[in-house]
Amino acid sequence: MTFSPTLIAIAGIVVLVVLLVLLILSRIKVAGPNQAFLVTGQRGKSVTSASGERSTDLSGQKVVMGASVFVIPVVQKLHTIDLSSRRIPVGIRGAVSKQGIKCDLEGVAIVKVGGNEGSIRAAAQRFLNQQAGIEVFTSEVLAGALRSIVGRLTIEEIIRDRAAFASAVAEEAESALTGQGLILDTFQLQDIQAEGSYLADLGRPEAARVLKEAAIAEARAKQAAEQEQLLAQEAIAIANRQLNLKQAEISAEIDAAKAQAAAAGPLAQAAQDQQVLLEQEKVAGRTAALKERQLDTEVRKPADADRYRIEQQAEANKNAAIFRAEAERQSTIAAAQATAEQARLSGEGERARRSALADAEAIEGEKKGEAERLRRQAIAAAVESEGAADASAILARGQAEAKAMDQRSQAFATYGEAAVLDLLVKVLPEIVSAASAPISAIDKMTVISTDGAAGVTKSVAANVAQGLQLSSDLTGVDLGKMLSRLGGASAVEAAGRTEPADGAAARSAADRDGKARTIPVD
Amino acid sequence: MDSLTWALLITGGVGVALLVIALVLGEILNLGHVDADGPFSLPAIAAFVGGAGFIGALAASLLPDGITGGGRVVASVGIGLVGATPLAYGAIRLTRGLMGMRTDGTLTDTDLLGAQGTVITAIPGTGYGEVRLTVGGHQLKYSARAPEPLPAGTPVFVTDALSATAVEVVSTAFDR
Repeated sequence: MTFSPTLIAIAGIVVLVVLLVLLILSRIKVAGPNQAFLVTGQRGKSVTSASGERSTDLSGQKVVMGASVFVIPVVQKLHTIDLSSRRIPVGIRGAVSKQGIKCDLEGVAIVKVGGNEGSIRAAAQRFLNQQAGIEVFTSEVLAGALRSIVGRLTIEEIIRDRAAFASAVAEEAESALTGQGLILDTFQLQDIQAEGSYLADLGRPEAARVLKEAAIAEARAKQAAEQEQLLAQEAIAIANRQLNLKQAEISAEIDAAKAQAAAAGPLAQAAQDQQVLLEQEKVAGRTAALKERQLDTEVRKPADADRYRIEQQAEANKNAAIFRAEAERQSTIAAAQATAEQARLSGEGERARRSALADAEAIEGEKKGEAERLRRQAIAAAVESEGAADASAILARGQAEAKAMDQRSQAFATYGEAAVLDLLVKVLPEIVSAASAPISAIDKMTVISTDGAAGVTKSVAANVAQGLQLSSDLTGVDLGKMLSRLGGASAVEAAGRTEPADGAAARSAADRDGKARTIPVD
Repeated sequence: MDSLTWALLITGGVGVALLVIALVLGEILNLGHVDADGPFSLPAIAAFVGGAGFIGALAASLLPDGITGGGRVVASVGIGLVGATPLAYGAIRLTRGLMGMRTDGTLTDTDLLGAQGTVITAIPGTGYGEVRLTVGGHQLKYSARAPEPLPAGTPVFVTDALSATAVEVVSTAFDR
């Protein structure tokens, strides 16, 4: 591909113009915010002083800060000065204060090149090619200045009075630094140490006071805290009490409400029941009324009707019966009359018949009586003969008994007292038994006697004796004497043989009595 | 393409090369001890040379073929030189204009006079305190001296610039 000379020439012109503009613009220099430019090389303006001398000013040495400047190559030269702050440590040892106390100080200074034209020119003259040396120079200058400052102030002022210290520093800096185009932005002490324990002693009263106040404050705070705690606890207790009271109150209310609610059910139930009962009562009333009416309609009215009907019926019956009875009576009367008539008629017939019958029976009775009289005569004869036989038998026996008695009495008379004694011996045990009967009937006996228990037998013996005496008095037979004459025992056997005679006599008497009773009465 | 055109194009290229070298190497290049301010400055020279070359070449390429020989050479170079003159003049004008362009003025001590500010460290009767001044929109801190003690916070007015870092002030507070 080939280019025509025309196109090449036009392109060349364009390129030439562009490069030209770029070259010219590239000669504009722009200073940063921390930079100051010094453009040297131009000739200063001519100035005529008041005295007529001609000189050039410094306008050829141009100072530019934070702006752009066109620098012509070759004929002009651009210099840059850094305006940044520089941190410069400053330390001095053994500086003597106003009070004569030695102290060591360490501080730091912030220093920069001044921001106005005069400072920049002065700094440029001194430090343009040795800007790194600013720190060293300044540090040494400030050390001397600081020593002078310490000499003018007391240590307390150095520590406490910032204004006084700053004033002194400014004064020193004014003379030491401003001439070099530097300004002291700030100067701060980092450390100060006095000889011995001066600084420590300075703080001790205050430390003690602070300690005391701290202790007091701590104690008061503790006290306040405790009090607050106690108050809080009290408040809590009160609140608890109120809470409990309120809870109890609420609980009581709840219980009451519960009871009420519990009662409400039954009450409502009761009310409802009552209502129901009322309704039921009404219903019952209505029912009763209805029943009453039903009764009226169904029972009473019919009953009345029945009664009426029955009464009417009874009345009718009665009347009917009356009428019937009347009819019967009349019919009966009629019938009776008829019957009477009939009876009269039949009675006459019967009388005739009966008289015939009576006649027949009279004849028959006569015959029967005769037969009976004959039979009874036969029986009487038989009984009479039987009785005569019995009487003779009894008579024979009685005679035999009487004979036996006679023989016994003869025996008694013969044997005398021996027979009585035999009788007595048979009777005596019964007498003694009877005499001792009262004593045997005694359930419990207390004997009061000088003779002791032997008195009892004595009394029995006395009773027997009294009984014998009594019988002797009554009978006249002296039984005691008879007993005392108990010598002839032979008579006793004779008394035993007379006994059957007495029995025969008794039997004969009895036979006589029996014969008398057996006589028939008819 | 004839030799004349070539020669003129090369001349123009020399001018461009000068500009490129000047741009790249900047101030290092020193083209003789000449007053570079004016028609003999590098941009002017380069513009003239380059412009003459390229414009001449343009003329040579556009001239009718009837013009030949010496006449053609004279005509082309002449057109090139004439055309390059305003280019060089433009470069000179541009340079001159940029040299005189306005920039912010640099602060001088005399600018402090009449500035207003506030005392930030009390000024004792003797010795320096500190004031903050508003100068040209900047907040600057200066050491300050006053005829009477001024407490901190007092508004002040600069009556004198003692040095680059110190001023003399008077109070402007009302109730003094």
